[in-house]
Amino acid sequence: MRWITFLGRTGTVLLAISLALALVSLIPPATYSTPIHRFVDGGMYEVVWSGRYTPKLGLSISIRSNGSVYLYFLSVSSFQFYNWTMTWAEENLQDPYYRFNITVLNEFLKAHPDDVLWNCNFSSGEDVFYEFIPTSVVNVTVVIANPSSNLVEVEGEIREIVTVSPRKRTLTLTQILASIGIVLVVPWAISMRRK
Amino acid sequence: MGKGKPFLEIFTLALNEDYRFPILEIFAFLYALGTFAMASFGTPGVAAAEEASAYYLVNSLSGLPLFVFLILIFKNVAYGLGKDLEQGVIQTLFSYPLKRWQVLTAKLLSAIGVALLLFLGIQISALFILAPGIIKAYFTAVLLTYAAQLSVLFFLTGILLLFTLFLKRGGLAIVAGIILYFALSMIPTFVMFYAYATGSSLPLKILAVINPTIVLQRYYLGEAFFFFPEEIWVPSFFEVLLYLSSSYIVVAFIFLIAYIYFERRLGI
Repeated sequence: MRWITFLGRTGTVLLAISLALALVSLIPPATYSTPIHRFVDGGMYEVVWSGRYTPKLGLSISIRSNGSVYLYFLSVSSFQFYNWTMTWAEENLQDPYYRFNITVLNEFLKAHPDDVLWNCNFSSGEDVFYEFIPTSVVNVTVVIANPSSNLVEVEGEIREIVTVSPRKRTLTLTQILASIGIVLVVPWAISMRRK
Repeated sequence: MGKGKPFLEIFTLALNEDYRFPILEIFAFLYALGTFAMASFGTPGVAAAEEASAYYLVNSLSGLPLFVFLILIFKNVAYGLGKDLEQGVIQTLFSYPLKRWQVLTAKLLSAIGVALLLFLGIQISALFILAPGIIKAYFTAVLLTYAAQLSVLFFLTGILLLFTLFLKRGGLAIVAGIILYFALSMIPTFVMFYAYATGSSLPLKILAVINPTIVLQRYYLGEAFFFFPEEIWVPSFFEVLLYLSSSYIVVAFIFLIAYIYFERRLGI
């Protein structure tokens, strides 16, 4: 009987926690969107966004272009990125003016392969969507590179997503806790009813 | 009959008394809700940004739940144990084939142990859901932050336990505990201003012996937290450990006094 009570109370505690988590995950995320509209010269790249992101503050991008371009999410601050590219351009191209050349970006990527959080290549008319919710605090710099020799027009929007807690993970835990809780509570509830 | 069974018997009785349905469930709900709702990643100082994020997160995550935890402990220790002393229930417990200190241990294990287990269980799960990356990378910072925060709480609990034992009245002990809690919340601000006014870090260091969150705050938040450009105390990691250990020694000493009093001078 004591074991049934113990397990039953454990179950009710788990149910209470899952109720709190369900409540938290029901709160919809707030989003702030910023439109992007850029013209990227052939053989150049552009920094379109940068910021500091946390598990409660994510970022999503929805973008399209009229040519083939590369999109990079880098885990560096714009300041670090600027410093590195500036120094490299000065040392190797003898002119910081060329720091937006795609060669500089490629050198950065070669030197910091771990800093690439995500990247993709998309072509004309293709819609690309990507959502990034980090698991720790990270600086993010979003870069668009145009490897072709033609001018490319890129447009879309960037959304910052503010959540109370990461919804997917919280919902999964809620379901697990609620299931275990119900299983543990049932025998206790039956024995209480009999009493 | 071994000593384990009567001990468990008293422990179970205490559990029944401390966590009647749905008290534990309400507190679990508040713990979980407070943990997720209050979590913040802030914008800590540039100097120690990475590690400070872990400190900042744990601090924000545990703020409200720690207060809820304190209320639960106050209820269990002052009201629960105080009522037993007031109404003479403790005499029944003394009739069990156990030493007095074992009776007190069973009561405290229920009053503090279960609440602590629930608190830490929810907090650690929340940390793994919210920011697994931070926990893995800065486990020491997380551990130290919890240790420092809990040390203050244990200090308060120890004093409250002493009040309860001396006064043998739960209501009065709760009032004394609440006054002490607010006093301890306000004292650091006064001490800090006094320290800056006199240019001496000694008052801060003395306070850090019972409240190691001060030393941890200064260590992790660094320049971002300092009020003035000329800093009077920038603790090292060794100092953090030193003050943390001394705070737990103080807590252990208070509980030891409570145990000795309960064993020899309770007058029951």
